[in-house]
Amino acid sequence: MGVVYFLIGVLLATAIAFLISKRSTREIQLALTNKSAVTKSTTRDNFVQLFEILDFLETGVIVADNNSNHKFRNKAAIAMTGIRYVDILIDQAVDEMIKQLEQEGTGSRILEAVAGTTRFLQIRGRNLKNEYILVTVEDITAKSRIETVQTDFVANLSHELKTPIGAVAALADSLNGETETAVVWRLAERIVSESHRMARIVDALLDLSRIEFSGTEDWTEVDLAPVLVEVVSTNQHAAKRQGIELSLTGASHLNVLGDRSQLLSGFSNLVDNAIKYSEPGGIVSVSSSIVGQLVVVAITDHGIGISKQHQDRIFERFYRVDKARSRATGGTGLGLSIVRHIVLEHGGSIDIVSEEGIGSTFTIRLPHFVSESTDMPTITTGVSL
Amino acid sequence: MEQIRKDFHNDLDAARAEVIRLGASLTESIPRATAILLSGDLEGADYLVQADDEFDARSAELEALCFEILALQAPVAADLRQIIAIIKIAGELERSADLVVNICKAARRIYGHNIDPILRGVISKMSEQAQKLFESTMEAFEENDAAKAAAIDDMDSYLDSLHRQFIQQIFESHSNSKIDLQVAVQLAVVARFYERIGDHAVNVSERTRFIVTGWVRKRDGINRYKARIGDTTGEFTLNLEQN
Repeated sequence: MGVVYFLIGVLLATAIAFLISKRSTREIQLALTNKSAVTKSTTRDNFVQLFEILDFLETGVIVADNNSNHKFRNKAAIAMTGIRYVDILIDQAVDEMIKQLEQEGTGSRILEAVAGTTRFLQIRGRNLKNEYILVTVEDITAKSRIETVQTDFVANLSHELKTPIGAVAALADSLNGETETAVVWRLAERIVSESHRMARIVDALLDLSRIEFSGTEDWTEVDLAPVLVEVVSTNQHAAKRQGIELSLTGASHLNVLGDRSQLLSGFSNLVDNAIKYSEPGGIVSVSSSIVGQLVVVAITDHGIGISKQHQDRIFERFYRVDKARSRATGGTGLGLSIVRHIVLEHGGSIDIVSEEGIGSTFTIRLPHFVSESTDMPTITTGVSL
Repeated sequence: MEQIRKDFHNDLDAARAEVIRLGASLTESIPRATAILLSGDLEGADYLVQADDEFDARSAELEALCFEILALQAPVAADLRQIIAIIKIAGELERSADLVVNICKAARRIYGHNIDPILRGVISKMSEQAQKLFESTMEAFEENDAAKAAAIDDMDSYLDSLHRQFIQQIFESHSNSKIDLQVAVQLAVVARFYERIGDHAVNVSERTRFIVTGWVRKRDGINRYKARIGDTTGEFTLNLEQN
């Protein structure tokens, strides 16, 4: 019995060393050969400590013998995702990995599991000196999402800028040598509109970085009620043209601390979107209220809605739910990420509730600002959403 | 003798574990197929269609293992119920996986066509509900929970109502010219696939109740038939319930 404990002890110590410092195989082998040093200090207490350390890790650690029998699993390995069927699929992949490494070698694979959104799990295995097999499971969903966002951003940015540049070049080329006045006019008009489109995208990108780096020095007390009135009245014309009813309801004295023009452009963006994605005859409503210590503004449309798989990505720069339609509506693809930046900069949050075919509601919550000099009733503390 | 019992229990555990794993793959494939359908992901469709061959092979192996246990170990009582139920469940899971494949094949047929957002919304809901049904069904099986298994039937009625709502919506979308006839027909069939997946989940949960308590669904049809042909041997019942 003691021998078994000893062996497991050595292996687990090696496992930790492997996980924490990501040592090379050679170093692990050296550690394994240096058994005598470990023997003296290995006691039951050390095991308890070892298990506690392994249980603390977010990475799943499984140790199996050469006959595929699990000898040890840390807490993370027992319920990696908390979703039963995904955990079963992980177990299965781990067992496959152990089987594959029964003789020797190392292995690595990425398991993709759809549970609401897609989860990515990296499973790595290593046969330790033909005696035990160590398998680790790591949830790399967040990491791979960041990678996707980055690559998508670069690809989309170059696409968005290249399209108008390509058009301008082609149009200018046709213009060169064209003598018919009507055609010249038409081509020139197109060049102007394409360069405007490019300018809009560059402006929006600059806006984004400006919001990111703008400080709070210029912030003043802003009442959102007149801001919302302004947003609604400037968008009223566009709404009427599309046969959409745009309404505003809500409280007055919605004071927040911030940059008025940024807030105005943020809300305007949302209302503009709501109108764009509504069908003629639809209703877009803007409502505001004070809930606890927050000013809550909700913009609701009864348009096409956004499916769950896109909902957590729509705030990314240049992310398009439906690429074809976005061309038709003429957006820069940056509107929602600008809105999100503005809201976050103001210490607020933005949420979306949406169902395809039913509509969407964007809810913005900003901290309610109560200045000491005004006669506003004080807000009861301890009330929050 | 002890060794024989040990082998028998190992085999039985292996069969149960395989049911649980097949169930997990199936549960995961439902939202995956829906994403494929709604995003027109042809590559994903190919992958799932091919993965079904492995699923078929595994469920056939599972059945073979059960037959072997029956032939070599001649189990009785609860063990016998277990094996009979697993043979039946293997079939239900295999059939449900085929329906998931059918959803992927429909994705190929409607590729490039626009689907009315309202219909997309209802498809997502049906998929979620079908997945939830199988998730709960497999949990009930794993935990031998007869009460949870009995609740699956009620959960399925929501999926049925979504199915009816979807068919109604297809008519409306078609009459408003939001979808063409070809898409309308394909979508009606797709809706039926989800609804059938739900029915299979109910069947699996009934088998779970059978394992735990010996409960068998009332055979109303058989008794109607007996009454019609003038059979007077009395009501047909399968009395297998535990005392």
